[in-house]
Amino acid sequence: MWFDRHDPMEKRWPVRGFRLAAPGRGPIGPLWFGAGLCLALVTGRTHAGDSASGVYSEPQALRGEALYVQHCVACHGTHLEGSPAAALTGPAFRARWEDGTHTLDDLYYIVRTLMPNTAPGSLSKAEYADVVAYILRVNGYPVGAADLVPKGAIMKPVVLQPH
Amino acid sequence: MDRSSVVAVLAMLVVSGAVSAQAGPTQQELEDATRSTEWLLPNHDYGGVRFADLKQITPATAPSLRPVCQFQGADLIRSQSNPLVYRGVMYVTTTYSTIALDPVTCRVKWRHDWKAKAKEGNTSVKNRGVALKDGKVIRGTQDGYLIALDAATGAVLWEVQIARPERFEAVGMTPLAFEDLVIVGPNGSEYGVKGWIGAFRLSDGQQVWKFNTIPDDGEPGADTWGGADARLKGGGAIWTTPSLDVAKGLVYVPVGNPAPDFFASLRPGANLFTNTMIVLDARTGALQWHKQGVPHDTHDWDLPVVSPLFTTMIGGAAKNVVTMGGKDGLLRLVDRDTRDQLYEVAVTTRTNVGEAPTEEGTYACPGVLGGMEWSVPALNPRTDVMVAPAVDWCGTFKKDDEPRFIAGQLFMGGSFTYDPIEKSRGWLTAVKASTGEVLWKYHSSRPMLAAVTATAGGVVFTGELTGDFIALDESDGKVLYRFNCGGSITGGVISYAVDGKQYVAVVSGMAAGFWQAQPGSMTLTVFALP
Ligand code: HEC
Repeated sequence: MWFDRHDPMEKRWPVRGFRLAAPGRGPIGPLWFGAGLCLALVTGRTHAGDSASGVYSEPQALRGEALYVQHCVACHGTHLEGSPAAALTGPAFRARWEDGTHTLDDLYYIVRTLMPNTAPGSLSKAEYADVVAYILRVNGYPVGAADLVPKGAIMKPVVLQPH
Repeated sequence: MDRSSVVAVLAMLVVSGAVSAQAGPTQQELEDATRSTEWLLPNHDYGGVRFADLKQITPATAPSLRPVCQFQGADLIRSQSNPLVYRGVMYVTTTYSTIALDPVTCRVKWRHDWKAKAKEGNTSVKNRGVALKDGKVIRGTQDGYLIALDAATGAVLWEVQIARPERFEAVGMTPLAFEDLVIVGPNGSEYGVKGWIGAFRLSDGQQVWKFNTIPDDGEPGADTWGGADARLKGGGAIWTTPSLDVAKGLVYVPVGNPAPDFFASLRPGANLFTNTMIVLDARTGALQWHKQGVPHDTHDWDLPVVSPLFTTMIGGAAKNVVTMGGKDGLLRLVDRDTRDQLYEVAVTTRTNVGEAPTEEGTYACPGVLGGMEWSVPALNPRTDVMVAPAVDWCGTFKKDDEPRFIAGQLFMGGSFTYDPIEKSRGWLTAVKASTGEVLWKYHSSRPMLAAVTATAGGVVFTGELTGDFIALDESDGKVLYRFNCGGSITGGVISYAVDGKQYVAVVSGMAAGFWQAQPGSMTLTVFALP
């Protein structure tokens, strides 16, 4: 069906804020470890055992912040608190996105197809990925070693989860 | 105080208690609202005529208007509330709060704050105001509740979850109270809801009837979608105020756009009842007839306007008519008996209207924001002048390569790129209501979204996205008075009398992000002559 965005056959990996792979941050179940491993693999990293890795890098989030200030801040606020448009952090945002049915690619899709609301599609794919990285960082997702690459194959398996 | 004056005071208390706000407005009072010098229904009366029979403020006196009091709602969310005034009390809303205040001093009598009990239906967060009847103040909430408050105290009388936030429905429109019913439906066309409108018992909020604006299998209109799948997230939500033909007991309901907005090949057919004025038996919800504005819409051109509904002389005969207007920028007059369209007038730029969006992009006017939005025209029945607000902001519609439904997110099936903000503008168009002849136009530097009110004094009141409250001469559209309220005016502008003195109340504050307007906190400003 056209509105079913997920291929039911497609494997989706729960990623609890990628904390799964962080050592010394509480109990880590085998499932989480497996997911972390897979994430590292799908993002093309060879350091599969690098347990501290998130899906985006710090320099990328910094680039994303600069783009956010330029293209998004007027509607979503300095601290992503929203007003006049929706908040991009906080409980309501998390309730919408971290309900176990939304992938990173969904978030990227909304941003790349509809934002900035007045000039959708006006940034490059790489720039959209940078802004998404910044949104992830503000929402406390762990930083990794490599950039988030704007490819569906990489982002679709990543399910946003409370962390 | 001597004995006789104590008795006199007691007698006064008893009398004022008997006529206080608590009891009404009654059905009779609502039906007589046309003649009321207060403001009992969102668009003044059941017909939605928006004419206040008040004439202290005239073209001669309007320049000496001045603000007399302000109320601040402390709310940085869309401020579109339409205040009501009944028996010397004003009722106004912010997104989460309902406030009763003095319409002369702006002093708060009570305030009720709603704490969401469920997930909020969608991110289009707003409230457009309350309905008032039999001592109850009724409003919707973002998490799908319909609530009734005691008009005297603000205490909750009942709260019923009528909409399904898990299906992205939220209740932002002003409900319509009629007899023992409250008629209301959820918004959310852009979020892929399957629209409906219902009637709920005024006494306890229980559902009496429900009409699917996007039909289920076997219901009228079901065969206009090319299949059942398309209907499941077909949109067709309700977000603006219905009008009511009291004599016939018929409610005229404005239905919103189909979803996904720009990807129409997924829904082959006329897509009933989207962008349609549906006429229902107000007591049973049975469909009587309908008229569609834009069949198989590809531009998000809802039909939010189904008022004023009135009777006028055309060609020497009295005709029962209703105004039908939309984001497609057309103001139409329809004969309620023959159901024929009598005229249509373009109230905004219209170019390339027939071209569906492509992946490369198609330029068209009106843009995704209309046309006519949630504020309806005002009619002075004595002069036959109708004044309609409109948005003029063209741009490029693009269809997605891959339409994707993401729960809780805009389901557009494409995107819209706005022309630069400098090219956005607004219009007030005054027409002869019986013929559609254009009398004058007022040009605003930004889209016009505020409510418009006509008065017997020959002055029209409205506001601008810049924050300016304006009073215009009804005869020629000249601005007589202007005051910057400090935040965009996208909501209620009403006129009423208290103790024989005429006032104008204006709600200003925040407009949704895409309007790119001056942000401000929700504020109500009351104006009067010195
Ligand atoms: C002109 C105003 C405007 C600008 C600029 C803008 N947005 Fe938005 N954004 C909106 C509106 C409107 C919505 C829909 C929800 C709403 O009505 O608040 C939205 C929704 C979103 C959402 C979905 C929020 C949710 O949780 O449902 C995301 C994510 C988002 N925007 C990201 C961005 C990013 C990233 C940028 C900059 C590249 C941006 N926006 C720029 C107006 C804007």
